[in-house]
Amino acid sequence: MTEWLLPAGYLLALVAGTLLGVWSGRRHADVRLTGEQAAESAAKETSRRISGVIRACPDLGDAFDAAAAEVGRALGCDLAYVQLVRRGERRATAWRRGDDETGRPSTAAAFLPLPDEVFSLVGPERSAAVDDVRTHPALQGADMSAAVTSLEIVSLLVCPIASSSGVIGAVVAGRSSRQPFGHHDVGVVESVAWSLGRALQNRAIQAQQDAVVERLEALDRSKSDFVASVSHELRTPLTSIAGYLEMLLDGDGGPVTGGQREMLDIIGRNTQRLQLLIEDLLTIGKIESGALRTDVDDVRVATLLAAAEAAITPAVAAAGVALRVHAEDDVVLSGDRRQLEQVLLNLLGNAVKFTPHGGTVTASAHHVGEGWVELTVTDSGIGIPRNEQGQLFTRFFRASNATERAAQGAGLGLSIVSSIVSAHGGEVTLESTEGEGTVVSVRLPGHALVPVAAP
Amino acid sequence: MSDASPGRTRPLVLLAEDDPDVRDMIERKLRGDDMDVIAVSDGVAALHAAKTMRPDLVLLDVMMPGMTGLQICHELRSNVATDNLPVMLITARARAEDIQTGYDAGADDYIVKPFSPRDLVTRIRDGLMAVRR
Repeated sequence: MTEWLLPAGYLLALVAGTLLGVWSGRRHADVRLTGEQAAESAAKETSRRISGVIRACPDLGDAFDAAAAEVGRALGCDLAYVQLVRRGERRATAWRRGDDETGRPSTAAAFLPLPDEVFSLVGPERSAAVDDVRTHPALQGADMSAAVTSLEIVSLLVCPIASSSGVIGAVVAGRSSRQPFGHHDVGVVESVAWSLGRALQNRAIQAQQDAVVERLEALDRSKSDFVASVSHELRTPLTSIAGYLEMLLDGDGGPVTGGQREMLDIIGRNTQRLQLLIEDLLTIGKIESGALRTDVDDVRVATLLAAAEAAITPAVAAAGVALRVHAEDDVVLSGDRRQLEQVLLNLLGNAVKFTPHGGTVTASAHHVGEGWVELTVTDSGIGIPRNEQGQLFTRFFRASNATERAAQGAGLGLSIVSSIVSAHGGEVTLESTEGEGTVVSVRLPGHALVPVAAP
Repeated sequence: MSDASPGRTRPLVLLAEDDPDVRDMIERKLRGDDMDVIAVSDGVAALHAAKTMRPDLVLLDVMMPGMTGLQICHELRSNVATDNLPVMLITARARAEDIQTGYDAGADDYIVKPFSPRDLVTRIRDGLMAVRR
């Protein structure tokens, strides 16, 4: 029994002792864990703070300086480095104990870059803490440059700055006595390295985006230049065609028969079409390249309407439509005379083109108050199908019912009108009923002219 | 200025235009309208002819290889022998600022391509009249 009891008592004591031991061990672990937690939270706080400082830096150079100094101070270092190694070029920024007292940052030039052996210790996701550079096997025979030797760096921490292409640099911390860096130190420096890596990557992305935008802008400019050059180049052959055509019709080449004259007239009409198309392309090119300058002058609407009327009269006569023009004499527009003339001519041209023989085209202008003048061009023409009206201001758009020979055109007129009007800060509205006619209203800045008192 | 071409019954027009078809067309039209024409295809020849042939009027294309119409116009204006010579520019560039550049270079008239040959003759006659006055 005793034989049994003893072991039992022994066992009990053993169990109790074990329990006690476990319990006290746990207490001990709790204390350690609390210390560990405090250190971890302090490290996190340090990381967070330094990241904030780096983010607040206006440029990368400042961010490197700040990172080196912050790491140096926070980790009680004698030396802290940020070094970039890219395409053979090495750049470093460094902080040295004592900098804060002198108020002068150490210039990077005062330090030699760390030798390759130091970088060979790290990988994209692997930091290296070297307790003693003098005994570390990988650093034996390495030229631990003046930066390290003169400051007698003994304990070293190297954390990689990585990009998608691998290690592009490192944040390095050094102590001149053997005080190895612990894992919290590693955490802080790794987070700083990560912040710097992200800043570098952001800058690279920004630079890429800037380059893309620049390339697109250059492409756009060259496209506009191309349109302008082509339009100019087209004018030279057109000069011979239109010139000889006129000379033939004038009889400079001998008598012209009736049949020949008919054919020459068709050539003439199409030459004119080409010419108008070239002018429209040039205008579009100018609008696109931003070269369409809008000079703001007071333009009397009566003068504008009279000029447009004179220009459109031959087309009006040929189409057999009636043109009525009326303006309140004292209305003045603020804008570019030539461009406003073009707006009116394009609108009248469309109206005449799409109005059958015997129809009526009306152009009018009136002051609508509060600094606005409205130009309205109304026709009794074929109208525009309702479902196509939304696309009318799109370049090269032609309504499906614009099929008559007289209605030939490229579909640039309204797009030009719309661009010019918006450049003037105005707006274009259009109402149309198929088979009945169209009303286009252009609202532009303007005013009623104050009449000069008679003497 | 007195008549630059004493004893000459037909006016002499110097034409510089590098496009052969446009050059021939203008020459044909002017000859048909009782004018004599010296036609050249580049700026250097134009400047030489302007100084040696004593034309009554010079018709210059703006865009020419070697020397532009604007440069020739400028040269003519800065030379005592030719500073009164009527100069007309022909160009494919029709922007207001291009036209202003032409007048700034000392041109008397400015014609934009494509133009009416009939209109060109009228303007040349006007230019010749202006000098005689």
